[in-house]
Amino acid sequence: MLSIIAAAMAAMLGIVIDGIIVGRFMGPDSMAAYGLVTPIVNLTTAFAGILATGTQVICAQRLGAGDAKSAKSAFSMCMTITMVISAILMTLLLVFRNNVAFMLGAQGNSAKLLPLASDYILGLVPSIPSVLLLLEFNSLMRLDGDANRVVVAVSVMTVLDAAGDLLVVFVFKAGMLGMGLATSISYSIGLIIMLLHFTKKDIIFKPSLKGLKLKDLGEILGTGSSSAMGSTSAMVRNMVLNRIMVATVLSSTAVAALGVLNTVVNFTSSSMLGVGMTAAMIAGMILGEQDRSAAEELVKVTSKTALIFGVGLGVVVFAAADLIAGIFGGEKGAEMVSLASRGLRFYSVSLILYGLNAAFINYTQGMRRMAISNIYCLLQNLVFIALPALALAGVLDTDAVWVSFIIGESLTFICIIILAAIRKKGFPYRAKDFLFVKEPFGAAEGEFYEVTIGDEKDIIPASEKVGEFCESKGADQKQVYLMALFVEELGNNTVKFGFKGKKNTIDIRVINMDGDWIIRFRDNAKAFDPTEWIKLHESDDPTANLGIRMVCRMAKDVKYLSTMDLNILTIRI
Amino acid sequence: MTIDKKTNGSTLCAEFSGRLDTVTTPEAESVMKDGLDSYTELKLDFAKLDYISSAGLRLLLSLQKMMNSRGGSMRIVNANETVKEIFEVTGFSEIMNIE
Repeated sequence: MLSIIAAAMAAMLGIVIDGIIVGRFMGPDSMAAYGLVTPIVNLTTAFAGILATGTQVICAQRLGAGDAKSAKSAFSMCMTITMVISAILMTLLLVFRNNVAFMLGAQGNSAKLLPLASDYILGLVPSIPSVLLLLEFNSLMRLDGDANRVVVAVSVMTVLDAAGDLLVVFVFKAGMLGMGLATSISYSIGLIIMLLHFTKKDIIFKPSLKGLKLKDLGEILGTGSSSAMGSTSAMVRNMVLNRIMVATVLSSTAVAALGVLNTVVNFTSSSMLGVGMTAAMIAGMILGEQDRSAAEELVKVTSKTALIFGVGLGVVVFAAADLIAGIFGGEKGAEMVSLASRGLRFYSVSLILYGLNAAFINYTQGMRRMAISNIYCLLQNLVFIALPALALAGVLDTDAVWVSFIIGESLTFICIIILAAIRKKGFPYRAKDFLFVKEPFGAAEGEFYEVTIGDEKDIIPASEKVGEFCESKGADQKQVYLMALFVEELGNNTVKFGFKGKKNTIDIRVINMDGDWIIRFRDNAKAFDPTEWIKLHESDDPTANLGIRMVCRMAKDVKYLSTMDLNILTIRI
Repeated sequence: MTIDKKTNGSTLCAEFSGRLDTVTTPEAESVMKDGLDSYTELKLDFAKLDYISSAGLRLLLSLQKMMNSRGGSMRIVNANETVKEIFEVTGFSEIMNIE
């Protein structure tokens, strides 16, 4: 999960660092210009989010169903369309940057911000391909067992961006254009580090122009639309809130304070996104495997983690509000800092429910419940914040914006409970009340068997129990024999050669589907593909590798995949 | 797993019942090898053998080697269809005498 948090923050980190240095050393007008440009960052993140989330969910689901080939073609389509979108966005922003700055609010009382905002946009334009690719690579590298690369890339990027920004301020004195360019250069270097992943052997995902399918593009966009919904809604929300602030008495000071809050919102939501994106990825695999009990477990773990994260972050932001706001304000920014600090305290309260709500949206997206995911995304990110802010602006002035975050998360949470209650036709309080799966899903209770092997002594009892279960469900003598045999042979091999000394387990699930018996092994031991092994050792001594030979030759079908540091073997008899 | 041993001159007949797996094979090995060098012919009756895994197959290899090294012989009789298929798939039907 650390790598997902790191990468989710990657898209934001450069901008966050820019915000701190701009606020500290370049004055409140530059800070306000920075705040006005934030929706552009949201827009780029929106595209990155659609492609990253859509591709990740589809690839995870296809891998979960044992179809690596089609997962690879979805990845290639994602890369191709990323290049196209980058080119279009870069061209539009380059040519129309003044118009964009005007539209974002550099007009009326804040007209003086236009050249500053326009320069910042110009500097950020080269970062667009890197922002798009960084988010996409992150999720897919997790599936491809190279999660730590993202952490390295983000760390290098952060250091370079901070150093670059300071050089821009103190050495080159290159203003907002320089700030944008420093961010672009550091993102590009981060991207190079990520691209080195493709020099590795034995990776699942490699881009290729062969076999691209338009159908994959449709699925990616459809599945990832929730993510677009989130970023696009956030973009519109920021524009609405910026306009409310422009119209207040404090105008550009209020816009600058909102810029500080938005920077912190981006930062905290990126760290919370780690929980959500992990939930989405695992939900995608669970959907492919049709595993109901795993879905319940996922809901429990995700809710608990999201709540702990949210409360923890909320406490930190509340306690450190003055300190955080102070980072963005220099000598001339005392009023802005005071206003931002007040806003941060209100915002911190909303974090308690933010994580739960965001995790719910990501989970439903992973389960391909796109309508639910999209609607709640829109409500959480735009409707339930912007409408209260607009309604209360006349009465509460700048406080209307701050308080709208609390109102927004509260209303979103209540609506999730209401939806679960409608589906259940009663009050929802268990994990299974929040599954939101399309029925029929998975096997009914008693129609599948699950067992875990943690130790050598668990293997034979598991083998016997699997045989007994299959027999009780009408399997013939040969099927019963083979199911028990495969558990023993694969269990022994994994424990003997794959357990690494940390807590390793093998989770086995047995189910009858479409007349075939299916047994799925999922372990966190050393990576090992038995289907490849047997091909390489076919001509060895015929009395060697007996266990793997029996499995591969006597099963109807054996599929292997390695993802998220797990070995997953699906055998059909 | 139980093994019922019967002798007939220089032939030892061992009737296996139950499972020959990772857990039961070590004891089966101990039972089989006890006094085996007194016999020139070994007959393994698998009529009541329900299950054999790779552990059991390695025991069979070991017994075959022991008999061969003394100029003796070994054969397997009455295996069920699935066990016979195991022997075919693993190539044991080519290196052992299976009736």
